[in-house]
Formats: sequence, C-alpha cells, structure tokens
Amino acid sequence: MIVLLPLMGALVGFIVVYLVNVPVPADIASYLSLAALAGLDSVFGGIRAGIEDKFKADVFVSGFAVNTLLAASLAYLGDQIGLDLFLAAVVVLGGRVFLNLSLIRRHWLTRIALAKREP
Amino acid sequence: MSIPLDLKKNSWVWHVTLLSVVLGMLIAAALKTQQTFRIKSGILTTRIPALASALLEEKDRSQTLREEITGLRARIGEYEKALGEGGARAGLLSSELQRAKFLAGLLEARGEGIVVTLRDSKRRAPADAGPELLEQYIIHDFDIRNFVNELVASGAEAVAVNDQRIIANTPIRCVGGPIRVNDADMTPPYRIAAIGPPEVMESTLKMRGGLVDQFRIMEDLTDMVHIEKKKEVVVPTYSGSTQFKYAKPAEPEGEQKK
Repeated sequence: MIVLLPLMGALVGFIVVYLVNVPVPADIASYLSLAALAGLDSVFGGIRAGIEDKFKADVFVSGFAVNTLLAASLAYLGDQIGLDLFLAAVVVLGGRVFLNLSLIRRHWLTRIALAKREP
Repeated sequence: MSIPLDLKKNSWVWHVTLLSVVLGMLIAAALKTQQTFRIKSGILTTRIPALASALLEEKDRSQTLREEITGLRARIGEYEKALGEGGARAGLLSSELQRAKFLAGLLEARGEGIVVTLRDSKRRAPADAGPELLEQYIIHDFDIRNFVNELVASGAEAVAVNDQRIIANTPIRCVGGPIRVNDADMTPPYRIAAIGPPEVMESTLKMRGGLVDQFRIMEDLTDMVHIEKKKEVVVPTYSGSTQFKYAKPAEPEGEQKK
C-alpha cells in the first residue's frame, strides 16, 4: 500500500519535533494549528490528485507552502481587523479535508471492487 | 490486492511523503505548543463557557485581594504611628504580635519533621474493575484530611499541603478533579509537610492498625503513600484571605463599651 508511505513520513516528522522541544510563543500557537490544518488539506489534496492521475508536483508543493502561510496570515489579519477569519479558514479547510478523504475512500473502494472482479 | 511500487508512475507518492514529514512536524509543534500552553496557564480547556467562569472567579479573587491590600496598607500606617508614639510598650506589643502571628500561621515555620507524599497509584486497576474499585487507586480529599489530622494529633505544630498552610479554618475538599486546600486547587502528588517530632509522627502513621497500615488494605496499593523524615522542613505562611466578613472579636469580659 503506497499510501502508507506519506503516513509514515508524517509519523517521522511528528516524532522528531515532538521529542525536540521547539519553543513557540503562545500568541502564534493558534496560527500554528491552522497552518497544520492547511498542511493536512494539501497532503490529502495531493493524494487525491495522485490517485486521479492529475498530480502536478509544482502545484502541490507551492500549494502546500502558500496554503499554510496564507491560512495563518489570513487568520492573523482577521484578528487584527476584528474579524474571525480563523473560523472561515477552519470551515473551508476542514470541509476540503473531508471531501478529499471521501473521494480517496471511494477511489479505493472502486479499485477493490475491480480487483475482485478481474480474476 | 497489491499495487506495484512503480516509481515513474507513482512519483507523486514521494512528493506527498516529503511534505507529509513537514506536515507531521507542523502538527507536532502545534500539539506541543497547545499542551505546554495548557499546563502553564493551568486552564485545561479552551471552551468559552469554562474560560468565562474561570475569568469571573479570578476577577472576584483579585477584587478581594485588592481590598485586602488596601486594608493592610492602612494597618501598616497605624502601626508606624503607634511605633512613633510608643517606646518600650511598642516593643512588647510587637513581640506579642509576632507570637500571635506565628500561632495563627502567618509566619513561616522551620524545624525538623516529616514529609508525607500522597499520589495516585501507578498500578493499573484490573480491567474488570468497577467504579468503586477504581476510586481506590486515586487520592481523595478525605485521605489528605486523615493524614493531616493524624499528624496534628501526633504532635505536628505546623502543617502545609503543597505549600498551603493548614490554619484553624482551612478547608480540604474535593472540587471535581482537583482538591482545594484554602483557596488553592491542587493535583497529585500531594506533599504534606509537618513540623513536629519526626519519630512520633512517623510511628503514629505506621503503627499497626494505623493510617498507613489500613490504607487501601484490600488492594495493597502501598505505592500511594511515601513518608520521609527530614532535619528541616519549611512550612510557608498562610497566603489566603485573612478577612472576616461575619465574625467580629467579642468584647473581653469586664471591659464594657464606654
């Protein structure tokens, strides 16, 4: 299962940072969480695109970088001008994560069904 | 079903994996930050209603503290005035005051004694344990009360639980998760520092049929109690409110109001 590879990658990154103490000031903590959510969205989007054979490396990589930064800075801007853009980002990104996950799931289900039919 | 690891065809997997590492890092950093933030602030939730009630409580507390500060400042002024007028009498008064304050627990105390540490058991309860058995594995408010009581009964002159001085009207009670002593909420381990005769206090706790002997006797959870004799135990001053709202000093007999 090639999908296990990204999972293992995420696990490695997680463990490395979790064991090393990275000091993050408390006031940017929530933006960091939002950036993590944006990253999650990008990775699932990438997996989906890969499965659908639409994957383009430049789109994916730039999307990851820009989305994480943009989500965090939009939320920051929202805080500055008194708008809860944080919530907007959470809703949009969360929705996309669910959408992508369901598409990935459907794809795998179709594949399994096909594999069963062939032999 | 297995999909061959065709690198050409599946090059996207490598890109995704690479950024997944970054994603894992981001998530770990976010999680870690939130955790340390929660532990440091002592606020275990980010839910608004809980935060609001915590805020109100703190506001209340700071209000009382402010009032107390004003009162204390006024009293200092009075004392200073008295000192100027006094002389020998002032010296006597001051030493008498120190004695009274020591008695009331308003001065730090030092001396030999013992430290009893109570903590939740590290042992796992059996999988089929019901709530009654599970309760045996954690320290309750009555455990702390029992130990404090036994220590005082066996000669302890000054006692503090996690740096909260036990004074004449100190409550020790369960407030949901934590245990509140005076105004302070605390979580395990509970460190009970007692100044007094170390041998007597220790043997009282450990005697047959005593508190330690009887402690969770059914489950043999002796890892929850730890007793240590010490050459010097420091018991801090009482730091809570010293304001009385209802009780007023009664007029001594024979000294009627003029």
